[in-house]
Amino acid sequence: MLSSSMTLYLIFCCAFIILVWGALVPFRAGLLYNGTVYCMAVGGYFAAFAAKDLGWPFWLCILGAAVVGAILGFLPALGFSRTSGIVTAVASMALIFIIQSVIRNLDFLGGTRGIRGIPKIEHLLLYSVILVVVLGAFLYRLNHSKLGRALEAIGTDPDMATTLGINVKVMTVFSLTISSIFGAVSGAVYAFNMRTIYPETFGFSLLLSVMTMLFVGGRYTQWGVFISVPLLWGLPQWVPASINSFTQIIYGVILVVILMARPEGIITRELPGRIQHLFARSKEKGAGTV
Amino acid sequence: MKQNKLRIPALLLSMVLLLGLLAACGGGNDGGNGGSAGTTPPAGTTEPAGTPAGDQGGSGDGNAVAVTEWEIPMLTAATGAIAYVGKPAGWAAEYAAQIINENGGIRGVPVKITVLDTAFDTSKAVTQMTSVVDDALVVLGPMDAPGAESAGQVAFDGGVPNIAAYSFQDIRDLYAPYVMGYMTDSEEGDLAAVQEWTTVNDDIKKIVVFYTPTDASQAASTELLKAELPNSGIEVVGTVEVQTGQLDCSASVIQALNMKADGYFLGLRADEAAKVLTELRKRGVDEGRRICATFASFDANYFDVAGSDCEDTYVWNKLDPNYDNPEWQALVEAYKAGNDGQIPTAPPVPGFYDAVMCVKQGIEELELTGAPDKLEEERAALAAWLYDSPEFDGIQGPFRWAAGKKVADVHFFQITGGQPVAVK
Repeated sequence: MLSSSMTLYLIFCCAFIILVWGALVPFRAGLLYNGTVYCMAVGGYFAAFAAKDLGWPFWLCILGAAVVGAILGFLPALGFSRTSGIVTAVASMALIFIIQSVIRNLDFLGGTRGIRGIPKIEHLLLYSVILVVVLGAFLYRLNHSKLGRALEAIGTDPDMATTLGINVKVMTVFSLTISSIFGAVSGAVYAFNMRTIYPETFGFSLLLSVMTMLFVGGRYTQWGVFISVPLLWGLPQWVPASINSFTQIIYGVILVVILMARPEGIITRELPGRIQHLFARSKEKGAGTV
Repeated sequence: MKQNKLRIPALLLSMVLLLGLLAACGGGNDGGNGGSAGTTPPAGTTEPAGTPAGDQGGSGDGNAVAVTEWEIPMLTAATGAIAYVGKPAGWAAEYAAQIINENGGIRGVPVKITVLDTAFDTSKAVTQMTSVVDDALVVLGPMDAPGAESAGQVAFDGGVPNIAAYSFQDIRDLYAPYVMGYMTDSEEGDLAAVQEWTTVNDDIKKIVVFYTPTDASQAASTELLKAELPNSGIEVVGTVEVQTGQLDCSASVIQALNMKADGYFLGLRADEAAKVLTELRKRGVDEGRRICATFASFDANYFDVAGSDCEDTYVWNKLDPNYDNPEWQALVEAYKAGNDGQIPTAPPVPGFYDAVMCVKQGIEELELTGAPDKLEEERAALAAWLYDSPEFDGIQGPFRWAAGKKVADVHFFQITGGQPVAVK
């Protein structure tokens, strides 16, 4: 039986794993997209409003958040398809400030005080793990599909990708929309876990946390988040209270050390392949001894 | 080939399961620092097996104290944007515990405050509250309103009394009777201060209000001033938004000056208020009496940055730093000794000092034991006792809680010779 604090922590981990995956999808196409956090706010507020004021059940809220996230992610993505690299990063950051201002000025979303009293969901940890598995499997299939390889080709060289017949604009819109869906689902899980939601949550510090988790875990594979998210999100919980004040310093040191020692992050592009190879070899050995 | 394809999802599932397993192991660990439970302070440290009940609270009595130490978790923003008030808040609670222990503890048992950092982050506040809510008799903090409103849900669900920044009545009603505000409501204080300011300066009829739109309390205060001041013959001719951390406030000040007001109310935190005040004085507001600041400005930063520009201006606060009470004077001396000679000006200092003292009084009057098997009923009894409390002899004067709202005097000052001098 898990303690309530551990349950809360694990659900946060699930929400952030999904969120960081959301940031990972456009990264494959060479885009540092900050709109994932914007869609997290969209999804979180949608789920909070739908559950509290409309009485929607959990899965309908998640589905609704994904649809709304997809729509509100798709629209700016049409514009971002004309930009690239650093321009996308800066322009998409504006989305965060826009959504915060919009929410603050909408009374039905609670304004600056946010939404409180979001209904409690029984078995939220189980549902969150299911979402991680489903979205993880989707991402895995995407990465190993033609679409995933097209995204990687764009990330390597957009001009070369064009010569290979890949429609860079369409693929950019596609990756940003997928990223938005992941962000929105993550926001919904976050809202149900917190049971309160504030516009200030979805700010610059959250964005920094997401990027740190992405870069520490490994920005070229989907597996790194399983190390970076529990580690970085749980850090304030693991360190003794007496050195709690130094958490931010520890964060910084971890980021610097990891990026210096392993520029690709803890889980590099080759590592999953090597592990797979290791598994295969040990199995072959095992088969040989029979 | 098919088996190869299955390996990665299998690895993923294994990692999820491993994570869950590790988590379960961490969650069950009550000692050490290896898991969140390691930082979980229980209601009290239960007496070791074989130790007699002792004479604490009456040997053999059903109401005998069942703990060797009362552990009270205190959630505060020890780091982050408001650490300058978060740290003094934690210090005040620990100081109160020290005073209690020097005088024999609570029912003969020492008290320990465990300060947990929320970093001015709502998710961390919820996480910290969740880590203590299962075992605590009472929880102090978070000392910031967003943190309290988020963590309050956890406290309410867990049925644990929580004295924190519950500055809105709708929140206190929502989580009743488990939540109490550690200080008086800011909006009412702002209204009272502006009414007092415009009464002693009766030529001020039109004012501009500076506020930070992202701060729910400041936004609510601004709305209250706009709604209520016309009843006193005062008009809010405009509001000017100042963002937290705004470096240059000249544009905001020019906007305010163009509104042709008689007075300027700074509903801002210390850093922003000092910048706006300096700009106002630089741009032609020669009479300091035309400027009044809210309690959140009342901080060493405000006086240091604004310097002589503060002269003749007004400011209100929920505490009087020069309050004539030996208990308060002793606290000030202790605070100065540990803080480079600074005096405490932040409301959380008397707020959390008094909160610890009230918990002590509650435990003693209700004869609470801290026994794990009585935890639920003792929490409920303490919550009901605090929510509509008797009158306490606070360190800054008498106060009580009425439906969770702290009812106490506020203080109004004019800066004279660089020092805040009480007006009323």
